[in-house]
Parts: sequence; C-alpha cells; structure tokens
Amino acid sequence: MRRLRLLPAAIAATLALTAATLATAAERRIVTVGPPVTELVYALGDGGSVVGRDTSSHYPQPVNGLPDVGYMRALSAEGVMSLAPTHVLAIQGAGPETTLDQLRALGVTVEVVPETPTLAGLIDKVERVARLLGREAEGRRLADSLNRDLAALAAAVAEAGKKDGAPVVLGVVGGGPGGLMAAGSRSVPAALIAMAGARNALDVERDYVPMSSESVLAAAPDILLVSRSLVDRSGGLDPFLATPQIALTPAAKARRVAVVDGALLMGLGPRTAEAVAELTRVQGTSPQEQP
Amino acid sequence: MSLTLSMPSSRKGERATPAFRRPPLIPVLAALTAALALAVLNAVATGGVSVPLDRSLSHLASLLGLPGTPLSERDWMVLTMLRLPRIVLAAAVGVTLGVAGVALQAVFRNPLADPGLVGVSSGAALAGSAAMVLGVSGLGLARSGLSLATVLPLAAFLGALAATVLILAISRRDGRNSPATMLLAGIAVNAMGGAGIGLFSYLGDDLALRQMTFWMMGGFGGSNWAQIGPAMVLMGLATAGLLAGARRLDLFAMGEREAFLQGLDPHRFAVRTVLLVALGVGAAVAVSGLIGFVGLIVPHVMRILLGPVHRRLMPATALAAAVLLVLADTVARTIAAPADVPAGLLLGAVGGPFFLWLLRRRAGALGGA
Amino acid sequence: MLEAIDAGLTIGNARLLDGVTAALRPGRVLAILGPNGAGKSTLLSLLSGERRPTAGRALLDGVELAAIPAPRLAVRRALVAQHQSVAFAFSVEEVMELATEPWLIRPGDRRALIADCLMRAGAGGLAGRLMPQLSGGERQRVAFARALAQLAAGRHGRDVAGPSYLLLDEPTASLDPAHQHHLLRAARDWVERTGGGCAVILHDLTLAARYADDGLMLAGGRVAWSGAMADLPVPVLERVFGTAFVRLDLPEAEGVVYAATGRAPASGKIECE
Repeated sequence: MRRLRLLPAAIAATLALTAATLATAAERRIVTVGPPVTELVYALGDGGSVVGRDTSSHYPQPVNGLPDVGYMRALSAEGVMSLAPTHVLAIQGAGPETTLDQLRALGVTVEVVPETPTLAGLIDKVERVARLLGREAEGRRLADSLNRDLAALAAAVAEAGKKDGAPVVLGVVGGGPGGLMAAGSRSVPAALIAMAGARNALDVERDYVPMSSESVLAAAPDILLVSRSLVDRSGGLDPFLATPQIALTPAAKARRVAVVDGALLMGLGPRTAEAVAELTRVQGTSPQEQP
Repeated sequence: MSLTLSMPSSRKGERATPAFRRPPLIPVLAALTAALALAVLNAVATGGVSVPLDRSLSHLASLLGLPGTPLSERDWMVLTMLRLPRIVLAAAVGVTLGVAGVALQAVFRNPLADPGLVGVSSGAALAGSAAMVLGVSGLGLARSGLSLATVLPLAAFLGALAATVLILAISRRDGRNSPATMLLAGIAVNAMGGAGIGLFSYLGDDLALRQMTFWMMGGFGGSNWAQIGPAMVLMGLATAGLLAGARRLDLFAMGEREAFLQGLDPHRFAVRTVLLVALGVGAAVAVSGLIGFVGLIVPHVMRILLGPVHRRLMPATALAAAVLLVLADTVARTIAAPADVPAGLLLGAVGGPFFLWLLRRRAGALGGA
Repeated sequence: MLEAIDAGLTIGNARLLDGVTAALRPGRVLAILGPNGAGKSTLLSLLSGERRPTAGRALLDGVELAAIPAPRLAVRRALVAQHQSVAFAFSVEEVMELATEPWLIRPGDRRALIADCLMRAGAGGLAGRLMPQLSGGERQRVAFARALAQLAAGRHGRDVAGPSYLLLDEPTASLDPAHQHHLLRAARDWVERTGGGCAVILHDLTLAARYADDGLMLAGGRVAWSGAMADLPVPVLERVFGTAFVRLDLPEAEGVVYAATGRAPASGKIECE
C-alpha cells in the first residue's frame, strides 16, 4: 500500500539517479538511433556497450547482429525498454517525442544529438557523444583526425580548383518516373559537396527537393553524388546512368559518379572524410579518363 | 394455419420457408466480452519487456491487500505507462470506429459506407499533415509553448470537424441535408483532402514527410495517458450519442422516406449522426492516425451474425472491434520486436483481402446484408 | 380531416400539381385515379407531409402539415409506398417491431398487435422471413401491415385526438387478384373499425368502384373529376385515358366492372347499363 503513494515522478528521479551513478562503461547499455550516432559510439571505442540500433544503422558490421528497434522516427518505448538500456543516443529527428519522454520517465538517459550539416556541426557532434560516454580523450583524438583529414582534402581540391574552377555536383537521393529527389543546400550531401570544394547544383534552401528532368539538365552537373543503395536498386551503375532524367547530363555522359554508402548521406559522422575523399577522387578524374 | 379472414396466404403457391431466427444477443455479447477480457489480458502479458501475467496479477492482489508480491518498479511503470495506455486506446478506438461505421452505414443505407467515405478522415489527415509540415511555429503558435505532440491531435480533430462542416454546408439545399448529397460532398471533400495532403508532402522536408507517412499508417505507439485522455472523453461522448440513436438508425436504414413516415426528422437526424461520427473519428484519428477497415469489416461480420437491428448490432460491433484492435496492437508490438509495426498497416494487410473474400463469398446471398 | 386545398407543387420548371383540392374524410375511402404521371403519388406525398406544397395548403384538422412534428404526424397518418427499400436484411418481425417501438406497450400486447396487423394484411405466414427474400407482392403486404401497426401502436392505451389516415400508393400493383381484394377489404375494414380515413391510388377502376366511397381523377397535375365513386362518368374516363371504356353492372361481380376496350373513344355516349 505504501508503494501506491509513491509518485511516478519520484520513481523516475530515483531510477535516473541510479542509472547515472551506475553507468560506468561496463554496465552501460546503449541503444543508438541514427547511423552517425551509431558510428560515433563505435569510433569512440564504446561499441561493446551498444545493445540495440535503429533500422538504418548498418555500420560498422557488428551492429547488424544487434536487435533493431525500428525506424528512427517511429520508435516504440516498450520495444526499446525490452533491451533494458541505460542510455538512448539518438540523432535529431528521432522520435516520436512522446516515446522519448516515456523513456526519460522510465529513467533512461535520452540524448538527442543535433544534426548540423557543417564541419563545425560534425566536430560538435563528436564532442557531445564523447562527453556523454565519458570518453573525452578519444573524442578529441577523433575530432583532430577528422579536422586533419578534411583539411588535407580541402587543400588538395583548392589546388585543383585554381586550374579548372569548382565542378558542379548534384546529390541524388532518389529517383522515380516523374523526377528525381535531389539534395538542396540544407542537406547532408550539400555539406559533403562544400567540404569537397565543389558547387551544389541545386541552390535551394531546403533539404530534398523533387527535380524535373529539364531542371536536372539545366543544372548541368559535372558530377553526381549518389548512395550505393540507389545505384543497386537501379540495377547497377549503367542502368542508373541510363535513367532518362540523368542520361543527358554531362556527369552521366562522362560517367563521373561518386557512389557512397547511403548512411554517409544521412548525417555527418566519423566516416564523413571517406565520402569527401570519394568526391574529390571523382573530381580529380578528368572527363576523358573515366572508366 | 388458422386465419380468421378469408386468407389466401396459406395456398399452395406460397413458398414455405422455415421461420427465421436471429441468434440471441446476450450469449453473443457475453462471448465477445470474454474475448475482450482475454485479448486485454494477453495484451497486458505480452510485450518487449517480459512481465509475466501471474506476476501482474500477484501485484494486483498485493494492491488489493491480498497476499501477493508487488512487481519491480520498472515493470510496474512499463505496464502502467507504456502498455496500458496503448491497450486502452486501442480498445477505445475500436469501439469508436466500429460504432461510427455502423451509424454511417445506416445513414447512407450502404453497408459499405465507412468513416473514410464521408471525408472525415481525410479532413483530419490533411490538418495533421499541415501541422507536421508547417510545424508549431508555422501554425503561428511559436509563443504558445505547445509541442507538436499536443498540436497534432488538436489539428487532426479540428480538421475532421472542418471537413464535416464543409460537407454539411455543401450538401445543404432548402435548409435540408440529404444523405445522398452528403455522400457526394464527402467524396468531393476526400478528393480535396487528398490533393491537400499531396501539396503538403511536396512542401514538407524529409523529416516531415516520413513523419506524415508513419502517422497516416495508423497505430497506437507512443500513447500516454495525458495525450489520450481528452480523446477518450470525446470518443466516449460520440459513441454514447450514436448508441442512443440506435432505434432511429433502424428507421433510417429502411429509407429516408420510411424514417420520416414513421416519425423521424431524417435530415436533422442525419446531421446529428454525421456530427457525432466526426467527433468520434476525429478524436480517434488525432491520437492513432488512420486506421482503416475496422469500421467496415466488423459491422459487416456482426450484421451477418446478428442482423441489422442496431440495438443488437451496435454493442456487439463495439466489443468485436475493440477485440480486433487490441489483438492487432499486440501483434504490432511483438511481430518485429523491439521495433513497432504500425497497427493500421497490419489491419490493412489482413483486412483488405478478408473483406474481398467476404464480399465474394456472400455475393448474391441476402441482398446487401 | 386530412386535406389539400388548392395545392400546387412546382419543382424547377416542372409543375407537378396545380390547384388540387382533395380531402380524406373520417370513415370514408377515397380512390385517387388517373393516368401515369398525373400527379397521384405527388398528391399523396403532400398529404403525408413529406413534401410541402409550393402553392396552396396541406392541412390536418386545419393545421399545416409542415407545422406538425414528425413523431406526432406518425400517429395520425401512415403511408404505404409503392416500393420498399431492402438495403439491409431486416426480418418481417423486426420491421413490424420497429413500427410499434416508439410507444410503450407491454411486450405481450405488442406481439398480439403485430400478429393481428400481419394477419389483417394477409401476411400472417411471413412473420419469420427476411425482407430481401420476399417477392414484391409479399413486401407490399408487409408494408401494409406495418402501416396498420404504426397507427394502432400510436393509439394503444393512449388518447389521440382525431382519427387517423391511411395513404396507400398502388398497394395492389404487385398482388395477385385474391390478395388485391383481400388488401382493399382490409383497408375498408380498418376505416370502419377505427373511423379513420383512407386514400388509395388505384389503376383498377373495378376495384376502386367496389371499395371506395369517393373518387378523385387527376390528369396532368389537375383535378379532372371528383365525386362519389358510384357516379364516375365514362366520358370522363375516355377523355382522361384516351381510350374507350365499357361499364358493366354485373351481379356476379358484386358491383360494376369497368373495362378499357383499347379502341379510340367514340364521340357520343357509350354507356351500356
């Protein structure tokens, strides 16, 4: 009967306190939501604490063996609770908000990491996650190496850009019979394009925009940035380039395509430099010497 | 056959069909109540977090001062904060959609009428999409301190009511609303709603778009008491109002003209019924998204079983629809655990083919039972 | 008295009724006659209160029908339509119960009342059937029984001022000859028993002459003739229907028999008494 009088809030506070004090690396149980966050936790060396991940987190390989808590915007509180997590680390946009609130009420430490598609945003993300995991040193190391790699890439591109001018890159995230979904200037691909010293073909203050075949042609992209899954769904690179909306662009004619893991286009993370490197590699190839 | 008047009805030409008997109502209701109790117990006992039923019951016993062991605090919270609100909401939405479906079918004298048909759902969906795409600030509520989780159900509810008012206004002629024009107006409003949703999906960014898609699939994930409370009150009011009109729905089901001749003001009653349906369905859509087929299949099956008399049909439909949604939500929670499948999606996947099968099987039998 | 006074109904450009005066008197049966499209059903819809006349008035005991609430009207008049809706599979029993339901009646009395009305309508054997399974004629008999039940239940154990009125729209259209007579005899019997008034649309002039006291002939939405059925002149019939008629007084048929010959009417009198 005494238990009845306990306010749920009091219980939640007690549990939260317990969770925080007990959450040393060994007892920590983390559910990560969103590929950048998942990858960061692993990159910071805390992969062993991860007990669950969202549907779109597929890297690094070991996460594929973990329970899948579903689509990041349609999480189920009880589903997550069934993994008995102490922490839920989620990328901005994960939800619904009610689920996150319920998890907090149940004493789970829920952290939502903002997704700002800029280099500063990436560094901030690294530091935040590192602080949450108590791995500030590893965080500093990762941030430094990201800064270093990206600066080196930028320098190389700047050198090349003096000669030919910055190429125009179109980020394509989806294709259909009517048109393409292309990356606007507020998207992650736009950030990658900027880091690679190129110009985004679509100067629209939105994330993703449907684009007609004609406007794709008018944008005259020199290079396409696409996810591997989109190319695979089209049946390979050649069928993809033969898509009517793309076939006539300079990029398709010259076969200048940067194909990267889809997760790299969803958010900036520890592997961002890989995507930028692939983009600069394609920039370095001249139209003639494409395979 | 002894008839006092010189009656030709016992002649040989008359077909002698055995007297027709409906199954008694009380046993059917008792069976459905038992089924609901079992479905709820099963739902309480299953979920991602393992809380065996005997331990829950033991906890209940301890609460009542009987010998029993209380649950751990975490299990207790999982049960009361995560699981129960979903179960209660699923049952309430089932009751509301089932009863609303029956009422609309009577008013439109069409066993295939559905809340989706009169534009109520699409009005709610359109307003919900607007809320998700424009966001709290886009709706001019930036300073209200409200979150999207609060604004969304409110918007969906207002959308349902707005669609209904629009339908009633369009279909009003000479101060009357004929059900036939209401149906046509509903179809028009549906089309407009569809176009509006298309517009918002075009305007929306990736996040809003995904959110919209999931919301429209319908489900009970993320239910909490604070959010479902107001919706439950509205659904309860609407359902009570519709149940109170059971006899008049019978009259209406026989035709607008018959209804008037037997003492009903059909136009006022039709308006009243459609408004109550909008109230209930609007509240249901607001908290659970679009959940189809329940308002169609359950009344259909119950009508086959119990006949079209609404005093019998409505309570049975309410119970059966609640059972169906509680079961659907239990499956939705467990089939891909720890992920959550939208219950509306499951119902559509199972309900659509089942309904087609039912229609084919009964084609030709009892005109439109 | 249930009456239409100089009543007209215009819908859009169509003038369906024009200056029609008709009255249902307690204790009498009125036959409404006329060719197809003459406005007979329209007149009944004015008298039942389903439609408001756009000109003239429709009154029950001097009160505009439109001013009487539907439930009160339902106690004073019932109408049997030509066609019965069967969108849902109600059973005959359920249809009958529904007609008696608004009023508090002891279950035993209700059952007796329903059985009595079904029997009077010649539908006693149909109680256990489903409406969609019935033939057109069977449905018509059930509809008649329901109308009787509606009026009877409204007066069961209550005092209702003024007699009731029964409006029948071609109630014999789908009935075999035996049931035609049975139904009209039942209507007559109801008039005599309850002191109510009845209007019945008929195409069979012989039946009209046999069971109706008064007649009203409509043509093109206007009254072509009205008077005692016994006085119905053959020239009026020939003018209205555009075909020759014979009227025979046959003792074997227990009254007069009208027969259309199908020939063009002669200009002179063709009465053969």
